[in-house]
Amino acid sequence: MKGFVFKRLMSALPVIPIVSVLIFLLIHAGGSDPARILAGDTATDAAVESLRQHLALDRPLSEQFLAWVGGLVQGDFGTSIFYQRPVSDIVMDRAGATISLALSVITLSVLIGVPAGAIAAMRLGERTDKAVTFLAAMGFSLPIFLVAYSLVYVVSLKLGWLPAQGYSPPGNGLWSFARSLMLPTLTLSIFYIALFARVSRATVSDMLKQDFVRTAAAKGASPRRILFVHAMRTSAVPVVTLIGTTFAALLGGVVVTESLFNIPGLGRLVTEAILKRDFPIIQGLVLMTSILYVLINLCIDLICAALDPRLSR
Amino acid sequence: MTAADTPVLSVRGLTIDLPSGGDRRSAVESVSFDLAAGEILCVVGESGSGKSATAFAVMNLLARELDVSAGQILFKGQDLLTLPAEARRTFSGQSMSMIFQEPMTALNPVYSIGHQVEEVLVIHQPDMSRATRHARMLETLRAVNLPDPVAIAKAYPHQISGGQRQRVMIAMALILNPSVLIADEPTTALDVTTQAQILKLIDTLRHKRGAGVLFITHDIGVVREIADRVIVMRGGRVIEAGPAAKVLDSPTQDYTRQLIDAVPPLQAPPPRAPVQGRPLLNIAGLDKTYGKGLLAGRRIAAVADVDLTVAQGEVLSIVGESGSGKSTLARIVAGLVPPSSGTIDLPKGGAADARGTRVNKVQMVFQDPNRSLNPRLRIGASLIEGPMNAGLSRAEAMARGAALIARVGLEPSALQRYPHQFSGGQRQRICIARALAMEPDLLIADEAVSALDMTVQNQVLDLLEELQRELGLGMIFITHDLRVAARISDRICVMQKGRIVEQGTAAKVLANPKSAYTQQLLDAMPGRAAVAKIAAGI
Repeated sequence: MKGFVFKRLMSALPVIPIVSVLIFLLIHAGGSDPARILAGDTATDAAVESLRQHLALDRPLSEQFLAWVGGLVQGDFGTSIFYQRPVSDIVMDRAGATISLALSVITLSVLIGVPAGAIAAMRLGERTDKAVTFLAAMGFSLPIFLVAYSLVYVVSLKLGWLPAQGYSPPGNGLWSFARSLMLPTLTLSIFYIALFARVSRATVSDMLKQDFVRTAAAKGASPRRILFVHAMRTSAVPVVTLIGTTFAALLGGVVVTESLFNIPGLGRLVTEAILKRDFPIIQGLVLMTSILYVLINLCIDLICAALDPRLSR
Repeated sequence: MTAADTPVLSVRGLTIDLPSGGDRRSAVESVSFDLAAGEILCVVGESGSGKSATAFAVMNLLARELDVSAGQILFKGQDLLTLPAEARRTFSGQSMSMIFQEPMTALNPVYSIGHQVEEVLVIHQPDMSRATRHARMLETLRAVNLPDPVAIAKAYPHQISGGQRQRVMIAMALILNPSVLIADEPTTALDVTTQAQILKLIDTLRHKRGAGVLFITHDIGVVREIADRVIVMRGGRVIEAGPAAKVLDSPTQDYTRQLIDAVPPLQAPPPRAPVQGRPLLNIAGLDKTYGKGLLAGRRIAAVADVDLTVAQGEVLSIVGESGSGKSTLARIVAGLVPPSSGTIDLPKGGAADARGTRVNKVQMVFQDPNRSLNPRLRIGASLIEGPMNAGLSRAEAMARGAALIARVGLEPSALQRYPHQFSGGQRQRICIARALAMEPDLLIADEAVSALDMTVQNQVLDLLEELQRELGLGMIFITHDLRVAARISDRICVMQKGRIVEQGTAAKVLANPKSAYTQQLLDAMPGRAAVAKIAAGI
């Protein structure tokens, strides 16, 4: 197991330098000019040029890259062109909302989606299964803005139970924090509940057909025991993998939901940064997200190896 | 009938319906039999005869689309079919237990052996303390003669051998001393020597523990070895029943005789004239080692120092148990796996190391016909794929495919159908046609008949033999079954642990085996002792 951890770590590490080169090249190859945007429509060419020099955007690409990497090595992700603040500070400000939203969406989706899928798998072809499959298909197909606006209309405007927009950090009181997350969580979760239900149904029903399930039945195991101890445990690997990648994707930013509910999260930060050509923020965010992806994937692999002893061979 | 002879299990008029739309109405029709304590009752029949459905019904393991529509299953006089599901579960694993054909897949891959054996106790005796449970588990593993029970208990299923897994299954089945043990083809997936050991174990344990054993098999050799009484099933009905000696030696039904005659006798074939063909394949000093991971650094020799020749028109059998390297050798010859060192010459096929050439000249037929055809391709499409890759036009390839389908004994309409619409034997015919569509010089059959029933096995062997003679093919026939090897080969080569331990004409190897290992394989053949006795007139 120790050897396995070491091997996985060693194969994950090289991803990060490769990604940083790619990000840098992609962004700077675009040919757009942050100085022109920052200076505004009325600025003279000379003013734009002096701004460009000030931001060191006139240097050769290789030099800019080395300066960026030099900062990275010391933990400095650069300074935002637009906000004139360190990228890491801006990201820290915005990360709280996104992480809270991602965690609550994952929790709700797993708690509802996985059991629903498992129950459907037990009752394959029966009415429960058909109901779950139908609802999951609905959850997949509903456009996210439709769900969001319907929820806002009914829950906030008609019933007045929850705020329609905005995010209240936990510092301002846990109850208002929770209330501000409920609608966005529900909106996003509908899709992910459907996804987890479908995947769990498929893997669990597949496991229920395996010979070892028949062996368990021959041992006198109850249907509950067969489901929880045998079928779900062996289905855990694909489901955990999906949970991990979903979590990483949610952290990468849920642009539409954050915009619809006016939540100051990473998704909105990155869209703003792209519109303003704020290169350091884009580079920093993409790099941090990719490091996070690598770490989460590493965790998934380790959890899966613990769940299935055949994987750590 | 004395009290001791009262049957522990009594099946009366059992009828199991098949879902409508099948080719017959019921899987099992009015089947009745009794099983006494300490007795082994063999249920013999080919696939589709209803023998497994009967066993599954007794254990309440029938697939959902199958329904018991009539009859009784009496356990010590109590009809299990009238019990609610929960009450019925208390019998499974405790009063009656079952072992299955595939020990590889019958154990849960993510739990340790010890955990899975103890699970029976957790289910049926939840009050038992952890320590008692553990002790009981180890004691049972010891009772089935597993080496080092403590280590085995900690191991996961993929870390132990097939024979050990089947012993674990038996331990799991017997831990609560059930009165009935149902064994569904428990040795079919095992090597002959392992099979002999498992049969002996079941035989000993039923005496020791007094369990009645319902033993399901298609192998008459196994029946001879182990049965007290036999019932023969065909098409869902019992067509013959009686004491083993009577049914096997003087069967009243033609079908039973047919089953018995389908078992090839294990005797040296009459010497054949040596094949005078040109050499087709020369292998010298072939090695294949597998590394066991970069960090572990352990190397395993799958094939070691093998020299081999096959002439045109010659059938060479490679015999050995699983792990002997025979399949790896076949894959190397077919070009599917590169050798670690050594030379493979295919004089007729031009440059031996040009992989493309070798694939055309060497074709393989694999063990499991259910899995070696793409389920989503029509048979026609599967047949023309290879020839078209080799440059034939669609029309030419189709014509060749149609001719071959007729040659292997199938209707032309087969080309339009999908693999699942055929039986195992038919699918293996299709696989043979697929291999021959490439017009090979050398055909490798890797356990090509071992997944088939005896009678079907004979038909496929007949076909292979005919085609081999007709086309003058060289053939490498890989098998674990010496009876099959004896029947089909000119020469036999016995492999053990990657090395060839004996090589010679079929007549010579079977009549006077030189190596101890060959002798051991011969001795392990099921039914051999009984046959020898009959032959000697005892």
